[in-house]
Amino acid sequence: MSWPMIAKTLRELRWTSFWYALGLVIYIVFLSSFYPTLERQREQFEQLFRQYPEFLFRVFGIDPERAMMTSFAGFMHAETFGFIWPATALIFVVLSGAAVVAQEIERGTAEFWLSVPVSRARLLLSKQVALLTSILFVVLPSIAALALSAQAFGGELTARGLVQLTIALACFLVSFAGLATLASAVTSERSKAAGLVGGVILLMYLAWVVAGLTADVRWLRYLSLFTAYDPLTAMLGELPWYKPALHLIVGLGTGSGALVVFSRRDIVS
Amino acid sequence: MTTAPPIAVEQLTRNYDSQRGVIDLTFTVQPGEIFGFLGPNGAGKTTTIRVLMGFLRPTSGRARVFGLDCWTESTEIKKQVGYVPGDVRLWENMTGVQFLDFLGAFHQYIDPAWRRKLLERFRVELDKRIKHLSRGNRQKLALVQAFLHDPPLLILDEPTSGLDPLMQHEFLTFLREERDRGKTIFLSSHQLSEVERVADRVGIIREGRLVAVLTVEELKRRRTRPMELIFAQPVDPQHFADLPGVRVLSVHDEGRRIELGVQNELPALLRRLADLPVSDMIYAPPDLESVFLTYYQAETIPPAQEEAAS
Repeated sequence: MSWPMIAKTLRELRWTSFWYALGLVIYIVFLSSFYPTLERQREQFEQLFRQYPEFLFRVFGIDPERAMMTSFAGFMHAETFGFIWPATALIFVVLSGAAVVAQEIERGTAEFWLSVPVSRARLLLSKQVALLTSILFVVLPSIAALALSAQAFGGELTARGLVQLTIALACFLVSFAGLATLASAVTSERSKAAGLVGGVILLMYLAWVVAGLTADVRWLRYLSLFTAYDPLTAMLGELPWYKPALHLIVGLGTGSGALVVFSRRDIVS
Repeated sequence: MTTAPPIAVEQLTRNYDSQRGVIDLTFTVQPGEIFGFLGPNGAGKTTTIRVLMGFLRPTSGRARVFGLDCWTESTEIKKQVGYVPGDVRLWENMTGVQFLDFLGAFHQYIDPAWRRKLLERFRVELDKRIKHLSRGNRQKLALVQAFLHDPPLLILDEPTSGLDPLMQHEFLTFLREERDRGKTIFLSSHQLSEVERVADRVGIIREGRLVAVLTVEELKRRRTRPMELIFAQPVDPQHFADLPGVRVLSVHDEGRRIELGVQNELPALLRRLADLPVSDMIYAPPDLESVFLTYYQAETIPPAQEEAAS
């Protein structure tokens, strides 16, 4: 690990991660403030939601077979952690991850970056560590905002649920951060790396949605990292360990792949 | 202290998918010398340097720095090398001082007095963000960082590009001083005058192949400068046939305009011209083409060879 490299990357990411974290915190607090109203008129809302087609729920990451509005966790899952939160955080992770190598090459700074007496693997690993730290900068404020909002607006969340949600969100983002750094290590343009991972995310998302709609293609869920993304169960404190573990394994695997690829490739600005 | 030469390249070839890289380069850079790597743009200078810095893997052959393999041991090599790339592009949002602090942090020790001396000598602007610096100031920053950890070997790819003439002069003087302190300097350039001013030996590269490695004295002796002569009346080019070191390159207007290649044999030529009806004369200053005139009369490129003892 190289501390100067970690410090530089954190400095570069600090404002981006701050604004993403702030935006998500504001969104969580704003949405939570509607919970008391919803709770008072729960039956009417549930009747209303039952009239919507299943497809609509699936597209936004909601499993209609599971309780949707019967708890604060269900409400926050439907309104925030099912779709908006991961979509927003993924933009941050993919753009930041895609920059780690490709942007240095694209901007012509790679030759200075690689002229230092530190191996390529350690340089990239340092950037990955900084990216993981930034992921925590984005996740932890959201968890804090959720905990405070639950208290303020009458929601019930246990400490166990909050811890499991932290793990679920962080591991989910780590898996795509690994993919993004791998794409960045392979290509020489940030937009190509980001586009590549964006395409993979879209395909995985579609696979997950379609797999939920019909039993004929349920096998498609095994092709998607979204299958293991389960913030509702996490908030309820019942998250199976293998789900975040799967994300973590994918993240560490692809991140390690990025180190190998980057150590062996030619660098031409 | 290692006894291996600072740079040893053996039959180095590096191909790109669609472009020619470098082909079968062999040369050695000795300790305490300034080695000029001379060639036109696109000749393969930067490719060679990128292989030396471990950015590119050789297709075949070997490149070693202080006896270490440039691809597999590049991390160790970089402890002993200061580097300036040909296209200096820095992190735009850093200030000059942040840039130097960042790159300096990777080295075990930076002598504050040496750093101060470099900054004073090159008059670097440290407080502005790099995006607000002129090209020359960015180049100076790149030069300072290369010398910052006082490495025994400097690999400099077109280091004076972007510098004003005064700073170019100052930098070349600094290079000679560093050579006198025992540093080895590998300097690429497409400017013959620059290389002639500072280098001890020169490697000439063109179209990916090393044409020759020779001392600067040998280079000066061998280069062929073009001379264009305008005569009031037609002149038979045979007038120049017996002059040593003089070659007729072309004849125009039935002998009223003759272009000669002159290899440092001026006195005899001037005596001959005194007897001819010369109305005008253009004797171009030596440039890279004047070197290539010596080596590229034939269509085929001769194989690389060391012409001076290394």
